[in-house]
Amino acid sequence: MPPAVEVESLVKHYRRSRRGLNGIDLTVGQGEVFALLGPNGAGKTTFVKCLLGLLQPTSGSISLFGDAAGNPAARRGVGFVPETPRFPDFLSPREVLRLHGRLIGLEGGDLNRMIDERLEAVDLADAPNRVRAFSKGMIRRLAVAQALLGEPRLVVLDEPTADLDPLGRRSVRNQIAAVKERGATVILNSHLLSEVERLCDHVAIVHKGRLLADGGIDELVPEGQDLESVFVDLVEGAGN
Amino acid sequence: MNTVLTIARASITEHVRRRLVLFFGVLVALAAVGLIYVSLSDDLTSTLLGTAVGIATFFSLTLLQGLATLAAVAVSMNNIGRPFADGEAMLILARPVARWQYALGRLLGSAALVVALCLLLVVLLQGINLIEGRNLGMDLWGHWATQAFNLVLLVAITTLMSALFGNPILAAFVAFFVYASSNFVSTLYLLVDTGRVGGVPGAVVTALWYLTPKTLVSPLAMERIAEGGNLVGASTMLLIPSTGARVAWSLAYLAATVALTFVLVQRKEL
Repeated sequence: MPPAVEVESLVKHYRRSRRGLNGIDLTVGQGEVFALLGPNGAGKTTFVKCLLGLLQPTSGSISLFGDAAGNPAARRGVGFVPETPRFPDFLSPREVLRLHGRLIGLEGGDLNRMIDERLEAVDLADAPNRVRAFSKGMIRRLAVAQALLGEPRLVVLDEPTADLDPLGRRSVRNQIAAVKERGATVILNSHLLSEVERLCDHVAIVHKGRLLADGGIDELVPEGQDLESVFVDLVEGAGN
Repeated sequence: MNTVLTIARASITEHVRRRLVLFFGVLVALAAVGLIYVSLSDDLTSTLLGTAVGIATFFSLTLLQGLATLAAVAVSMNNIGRPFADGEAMLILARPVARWQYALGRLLGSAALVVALCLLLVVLLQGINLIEGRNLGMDLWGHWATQAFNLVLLVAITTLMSALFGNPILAAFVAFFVYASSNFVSTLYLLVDTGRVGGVPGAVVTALWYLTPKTLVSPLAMERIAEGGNLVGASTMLLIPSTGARVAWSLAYLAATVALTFVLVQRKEL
């Protein structure tokens, strides 16, 4: 069984920025809930974009379930919530989900049933008929709904609880737990370390494009400490 | 192909919801209905531009074509630049969708709308002609497929420009300029073709001539221009003499525009 994600010597340099990734090696096993942590500008979103083929790495390789990430077919069965999701303003939430459902090969009654379930799960079944009328929180919830449509085997969530109220956060947490329960893999970028501690079983910490730590929560967090103190020690220890 | 059609369908739905197509549809209908009024008001038209048919044809050649051209630019100026800039494309491209499929889907959506608008216009004009027993605007719109092709070419150029520029207004202006430059450059090229200009200026004009779009010209329009004594107009259109060669040129230009769009979209960072 190939790992869900295998990253080897990943380097990404931008033309106009010093930010990027400087040689990341990482493996995420199938069924794991993995969190990528790091301060702002550490390279977390760049990592996610490379993973999904949205950015071309400068060098190195990434595979999803054994297929090269740059190949669109590798993204079949992958759901994604970006840091700032954006949908066509004039579509209804149902049309947005139908568009995404069709792009992953769903059709007809099955698709309609799944759309109903997902809208219900994120509490958008009675939402306004146009995305342009949505609040930030509603857009985030719609993004979660589209990512989980069709029960993907890998779900990539970039700050999934940003803009959400406590009820929305809990709802997303419950949905991540449900994804984990059905054996799918989750990759989570989050600043909320308490959330990560509660949900994840594998954590990596990245700083200035380099991997500072990678392992199970139990391995990284010694008895009597919490993830936040470990994170702060590692990042401050790595210096500027 | 399903992926491309799904993206095209979503793009059409969005444009229809924006009421952009409705807006242009209503304008085209109003302009066409206005033609009836103008063609019936013999007193009015005789004092303005001559015969009723003359003024009606003038309107059909300028106003209706202007509206269709504006519509083509309006429905395609946001095809690539905006969704890449604001991240809307990111969610689609995180699916098993290649970038060329995304670009082609957006382009096809716009092209379908423009062709539909052409058909609406032709149906309206033919209806008026049937009622009035006239032949208004048929030198251009009688060969509606020719006009539809030209507008699809404009859609492709605008989509290319939207891949090149982040600002949709700039993309629209440049696309319109490139599209409209065709006749002007062809007129200049006549000087090269007849040996009056050579050397570096001649080479520059020749290069420009190859770079400007080659729109299709309906045979009837060519005849009319020649009949009216507009020899420059007729000559520029006849620089690619046979209909077959002209069609091949135009198709090659369209294909090159779409291919270049794919290259730009492939290199665009999200």
